[in-house]
Amino acid sequence: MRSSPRANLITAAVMFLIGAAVLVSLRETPDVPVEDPLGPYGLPRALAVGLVAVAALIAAQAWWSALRPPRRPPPVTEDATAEPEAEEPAPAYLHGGLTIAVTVGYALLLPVLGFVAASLAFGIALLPVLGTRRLRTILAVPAIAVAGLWLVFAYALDVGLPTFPR
Amino acid sequence: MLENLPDAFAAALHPRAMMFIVLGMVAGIVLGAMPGLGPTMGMAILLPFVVQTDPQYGIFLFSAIIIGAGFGNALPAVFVGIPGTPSALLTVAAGRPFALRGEGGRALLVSLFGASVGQVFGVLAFLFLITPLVAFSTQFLFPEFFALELLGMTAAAALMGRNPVKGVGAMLIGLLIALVGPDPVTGQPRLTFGVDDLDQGIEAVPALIGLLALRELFISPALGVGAKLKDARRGTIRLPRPRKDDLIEASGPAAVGSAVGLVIGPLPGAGPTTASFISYRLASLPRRWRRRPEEGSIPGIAATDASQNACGTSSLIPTLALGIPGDPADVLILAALTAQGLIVGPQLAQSDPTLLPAVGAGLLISTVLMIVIGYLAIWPSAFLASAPQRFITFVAIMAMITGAYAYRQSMVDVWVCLGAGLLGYAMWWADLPVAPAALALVLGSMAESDLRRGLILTDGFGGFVSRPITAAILAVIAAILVGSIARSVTAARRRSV
Repeated sequence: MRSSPRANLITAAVMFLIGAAVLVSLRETPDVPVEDPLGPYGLPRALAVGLVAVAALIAAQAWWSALRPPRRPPPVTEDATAEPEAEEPAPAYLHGGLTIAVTVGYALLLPVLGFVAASLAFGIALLPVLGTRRLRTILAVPAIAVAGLWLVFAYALDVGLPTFPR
Repeated sequence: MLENLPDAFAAALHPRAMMFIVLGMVAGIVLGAMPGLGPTMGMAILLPFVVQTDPQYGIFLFSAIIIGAGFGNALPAVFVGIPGTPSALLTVAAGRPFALRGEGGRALLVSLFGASVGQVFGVLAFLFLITPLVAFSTQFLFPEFFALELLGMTAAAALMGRNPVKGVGAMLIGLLIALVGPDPVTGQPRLTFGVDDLDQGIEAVPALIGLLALRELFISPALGVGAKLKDARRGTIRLPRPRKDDLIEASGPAAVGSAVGLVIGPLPGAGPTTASFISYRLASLPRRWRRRPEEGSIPGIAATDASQNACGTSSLIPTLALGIPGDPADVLILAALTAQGLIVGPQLAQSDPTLLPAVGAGLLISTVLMIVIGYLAIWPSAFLASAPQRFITFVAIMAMITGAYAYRQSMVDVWVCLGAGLLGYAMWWADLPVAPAALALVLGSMAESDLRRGLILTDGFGGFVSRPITAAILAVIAAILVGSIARSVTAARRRSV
């Protein structure tokens, strides 16, 4: 998706913070002898400096594009043959955010409730977020899917899935 | 390569190998036919299991998925009007009008023909080019390998996405993640920030599942993909019968599309979408191939589908010969091989001389199977194309989380997968391309090891960069970076007042 100058500034700030955090974590010298000119910390340091430089460039680009707004498209005449470019609809971040939150909850519940119960709870929580409204569907789809996946992983692939602690 | 083909065919026709190929083909067609999934996501789900099988079977499975998806993505494009993968965007323009007048099966048969032609060209290129390329790369030592790995990552960073600076940023983030954990030369832990679970580093397999696949499922609810599918009108579904006239009309454009795919495929960052757009344009240049938009276009379908399949197969050449993947799906093949301890490139041919000929034979068998299974799959897959997106999202997230856990039966891998998914979502929000980060994640520690061993071998940076092949590759990297930045600046100037 195309990002705004504000989003680019936030991106640059996050990149700068990552680079700075890496440089701070590598400020000490390695406690082992090194044979090559780089040593264990040389490349991570160089990459962190690179990331800080990229952050500065992205911030400069954001500043530049904020100063010079994009050119307005020419007015469309009736005899124009080319199709106008479709505008990207604004993303519904709430849906994406809720999907992420429910998935994080699933990962937290997996070791606590075990695969079957946590996956059923995950399905029952996620399907309404994704737009399912019928209660029967909300209960039936997770039950069928969990049974299918459990058969595939536990039986066909012989993978030990998390179980409810005894 | 060619002299080993009889033995390679015997290996590829083994019942277990055939099972992987058939499974991959069916999975590829199904994944391609379901908008929002795609081959990369399916391969990411299967990655934890593939690394536990024979490397040969893993490549059979993954290459069959790529080949199957190259045709499968045309099914929703024609029947529903939504491309299964972005590379099938122009198959909608060329094929959807056929479905609207009840001839969807005819369009799909042309698509299958085009995909088969592209596939044959791709396999021939693989068989004839991989051995010379591997032979050439036997001259490489640590400095050349580092330069090649840097070339792959830089090309992905500079060419994927709209802004090369952001591409380089994504690559640096991927590299820093790859370097978390013990130093490859001294074993000294780095970048762990006091977290004990990071002392052994971040496993690439669960991280790639999150970065390439889970993030797509986080993005699709935000983009309302399910609602778009629900609104789409389904065309009439009929089992097709081959028409001789259509196949004759399609053969020229299919050859053109195949040639474009062969050239684009090995270029890192270009990918099947670029190939299909160029092919479609070329297929509309000669007057006898031009059609009115409302008619649909047999040459257009044949050219785009041939280019996608030729591109998908030819991109395996640099992936396996040099370790430079053409697109994210190839990154997963590379990840599967490296997770099994295999080093891609000349060492691959030396450590397992049967592998590359067997891959060639497997690709040929996959091509034949694509024609048979693709034809049989046309009717049932048309229903898959309109399956409710929300159910697919739920099952796919559950399968990915469980797959990440199953890799080492560890919750740490689940959190790595989830963290990488969140990172991927944040990168989408920030318009950072994800492929350079994924590639850096796979190649990062190998590149560091090659750089440092190369520096020891050549006695410092001066000796390192004065080696002719290394210097030539570094010059290509510089040219790619300068060229893409210049292109980006020109585009920005055009956009501004």
